[in-house]
Amino acid sequence: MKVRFFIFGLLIVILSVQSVFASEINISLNINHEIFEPGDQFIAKLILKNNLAFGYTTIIESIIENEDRSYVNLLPPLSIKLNPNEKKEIELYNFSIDETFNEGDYLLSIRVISHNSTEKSTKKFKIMGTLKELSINLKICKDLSCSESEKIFSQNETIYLDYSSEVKNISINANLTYPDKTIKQLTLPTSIKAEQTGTYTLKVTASKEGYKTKTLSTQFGVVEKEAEIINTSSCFVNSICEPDLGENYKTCPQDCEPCAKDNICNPDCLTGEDADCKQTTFPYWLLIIGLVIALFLLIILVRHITDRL
Amino acid sequence: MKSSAKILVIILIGIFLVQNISLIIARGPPTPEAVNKFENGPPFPETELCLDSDHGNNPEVGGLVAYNQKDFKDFCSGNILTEYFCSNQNFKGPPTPESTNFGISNRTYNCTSYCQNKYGLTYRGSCSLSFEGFGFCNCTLAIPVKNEKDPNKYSKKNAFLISDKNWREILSLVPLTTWTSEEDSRWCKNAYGAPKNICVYPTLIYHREGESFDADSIIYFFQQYKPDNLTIIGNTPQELDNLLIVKPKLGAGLKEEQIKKISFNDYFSYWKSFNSIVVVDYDNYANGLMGSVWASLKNIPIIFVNSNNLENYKNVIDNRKIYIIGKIDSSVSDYINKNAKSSISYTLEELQKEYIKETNTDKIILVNPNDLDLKVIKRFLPEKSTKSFSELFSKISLAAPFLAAGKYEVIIDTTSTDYKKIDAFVENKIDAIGIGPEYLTILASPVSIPISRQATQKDGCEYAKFIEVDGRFYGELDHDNLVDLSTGRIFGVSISDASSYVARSIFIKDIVSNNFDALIVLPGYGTSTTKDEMIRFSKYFWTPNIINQLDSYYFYAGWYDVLSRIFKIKNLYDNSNLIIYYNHGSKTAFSILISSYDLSSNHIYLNNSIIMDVACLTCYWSGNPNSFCVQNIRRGALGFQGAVDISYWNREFDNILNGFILEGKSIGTAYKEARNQDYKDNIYNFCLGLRGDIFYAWIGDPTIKFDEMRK
Repeated sequence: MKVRFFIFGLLIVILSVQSVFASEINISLNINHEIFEPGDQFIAKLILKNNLAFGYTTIIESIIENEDRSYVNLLPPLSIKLNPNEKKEIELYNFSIDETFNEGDYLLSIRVISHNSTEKSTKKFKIMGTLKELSINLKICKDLSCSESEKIFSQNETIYLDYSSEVKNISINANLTYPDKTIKQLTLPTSIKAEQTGTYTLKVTASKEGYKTKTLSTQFGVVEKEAEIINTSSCFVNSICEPDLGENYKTCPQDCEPCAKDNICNPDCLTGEDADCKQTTFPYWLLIIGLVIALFLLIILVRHITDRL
Repeated sequence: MKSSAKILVIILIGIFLVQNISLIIARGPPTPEAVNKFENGPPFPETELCLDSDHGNNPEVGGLVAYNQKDFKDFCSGNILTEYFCSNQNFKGPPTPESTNFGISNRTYNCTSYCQNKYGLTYRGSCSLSFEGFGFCNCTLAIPVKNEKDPNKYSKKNAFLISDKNWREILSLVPLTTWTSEEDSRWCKNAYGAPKNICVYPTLIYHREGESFDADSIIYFFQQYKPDNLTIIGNTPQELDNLLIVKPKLGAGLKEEQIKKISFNDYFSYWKSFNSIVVVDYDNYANGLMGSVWASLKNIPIIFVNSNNLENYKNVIDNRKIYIIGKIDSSVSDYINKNAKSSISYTLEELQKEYIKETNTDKIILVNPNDLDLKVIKRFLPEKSTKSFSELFSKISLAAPFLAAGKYEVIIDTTSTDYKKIDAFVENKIDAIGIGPEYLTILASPVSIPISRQATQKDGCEYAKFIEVDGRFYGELDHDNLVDLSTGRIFGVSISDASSYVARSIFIKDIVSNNFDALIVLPGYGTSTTKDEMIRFSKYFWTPNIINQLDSYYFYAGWYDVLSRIFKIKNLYDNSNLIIYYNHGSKTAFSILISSYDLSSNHIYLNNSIIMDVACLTCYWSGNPNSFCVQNIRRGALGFQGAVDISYWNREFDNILNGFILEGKSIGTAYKEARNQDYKDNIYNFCLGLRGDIFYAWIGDPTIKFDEMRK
């Protein structure tokens, strides 16, 4: 009896320990390949197994990233209800790998948050055989050797159009949009005469087998002549007021005192303080006009008197 | 009477009158020559009694000397006073040219020199007449009474352009291009949304490194704003001059005669008169930021002075009221004490308080003044110039005073780059300066004020390494995790981006079109997302009420629907005012829709767009100039919801659109409320220890309102 009791007790302890240490959920993340090429279907599935005798809802997070995070595919969180001891298979991703995917290593990560625990799993995979990036630069220059790029040219200058790339034998389709919106097909390298003023746009589509087709453009401008912007400065700080250079107490108070002799009258100066302010003179002309009128009246008066006489 | 007799009478009367006119004219004010004749005194005998009503040689009192039965009045000739006095009362000893032994003498005074010699340079002198008509030197303090600009210096749509080389010149420009004046506001340019008495002209700061420069965003602003005149302060590279006159799309399309260059020395000439001036120490940039905003409010110049350059500014300090901000050299303060009309000293904090009191502002701008030196070193080639530059994300704070002055905002500054310290600083500063803030605009790149912090284990994020801090920390004041301040951040690859953004924000009404058009692109989360699914989803935010407020819209939903029309949709990106995107993102792209590379290689500039999205990483900070949020702002976006890392599927579009478009709230307030709603709704964010929107920062001015977005 004692032995039976002991065995029964031991079983209970073992079961209890098991239930304590066993995960409430088992997860298994699977992808259909480790290496993918264009045209392959990428399928990721997750198998969930509820180890508990009661149901609950799990939340599943999943994301695919490549190394430089130029590709990030984060799914909205999935809520999955699991019944007691239920096993479920969920398709997380199912998409085709096309040629535009960047080659390299990718990582699928998931996190399953369940009743009382969090389970994580990751799967690495590679994408290969997709199109490579085509590196190409457009060059707009003033000389054939194109030692230095330019953006702005004077009218009737010759403009050299070219491209550079480390990849050989690129197929180039170039067209140039002129300021008047006419479009001309070009074969690079080439040169044009800048007859129209305004903005030109060179658009190039570069392609080569095994590379992503790349379309890029650059703009350059043509002006009648280089800009000559006038400097209208009128203050040349040197502690000397120089009215001849346009300095005065307003334009250059650093050099000219408020009531300086600077060819302009400062109304804030008191009477007579600024030599540039004209003194108010007696209006003699008014007096003269008045006197002329008086003289005229006097003549009439005198004539009137003399007539009587 | 015979006619000959009549003529004789007339001639006689005429002679009489002409004689009298001559006499009247001869009795006018004495000429300098006349004064000189009396220089040695009249030849009267010494024994005669001499009486002087002003009691001697007293030029400040008008008087009369009675001598030898004749009167000699003190009199003025221009500003020269001739002062009579009895020589025996005033001079003893041997005769001098000014004193004689004849009992009466005179002396001439230049009243200006007399008053300044006697009372100092703050005084002016003028020769005036007393009530009785006696001349005297009138010594008075010379004070211009008004602060006004010279209207002749500004055209209707004048713009100003300056390089980022000299911060003193840039800050000095603040009150020159943006100022408060009831009187000037009758003729000057006003900005929509700003108080009516603010005069404001766009000021663009371009980044320059030797002959390299960045003006891409500025040129685009000029294309939008179409200034009638451009004033350039200082020298510019020839390539930039050319760019200004090249027709769009490459250039600004200005005519040569619309552009002029001035020197910084011409600064004061923009004021017709000013009675006060702000003085800041030559090396104190932080004080200068707020000092320039104060100068703008008062419509007065600001100068940066120390003992070395004081000489240049003595004339503008003399007789004026001086606002001293912070500490200055003792030689400068001595000079001010002696020669200024008056002075008032503020610490930076006192000035901030005073500014808040005067403007009643509820808007704060946060800057790091050390950002003049903080930078990311990386080569970047602008689209509109041929030479690359390498000092990126620097000097953004230079744009702050222009925004602050244009919209009445107070600048607070911290030199810390630790988000916790900055967070504490903002809270403490708000208490200290006594502002009741609604808005927080961060004018700094993340290199100066972090936009994100590292996620911790406690945060429980599996994929994100960074958490947004702009709204979540700096804009959160009471530690309840709800954002309290309507928060936004303005920055760019260089100051050119930030300053043209500020100009766009202030002059929004001048650059927006008549229509407000939307582009809604909802591919969903994966290839299996159908059009119907996304249409159903969109109903939570895309409502008839919102649609009614638009002039037109394009709506694309479902993975394949979007993908099959992607070239058409891309072409709509540059013309849409509201862009909503729901899909994946990366550091440099809205994954399916458009990338930074697309924007630059196709020369795409945006139509003042507000861009809302669910897309990871679009504002991830790594110092990359091709960061998607950075490129959108550089190209004319007015607002961008950018994720600082792998983020979450936020549910904020409804609150943002309703608040911004239907309820008239600012974009910052609408966004703040949207974030708080996500917090309350506990939208799943992939971080077990944090709740709500912990990823999306608002890039742009949070004060912008929907009614500004249409002409």
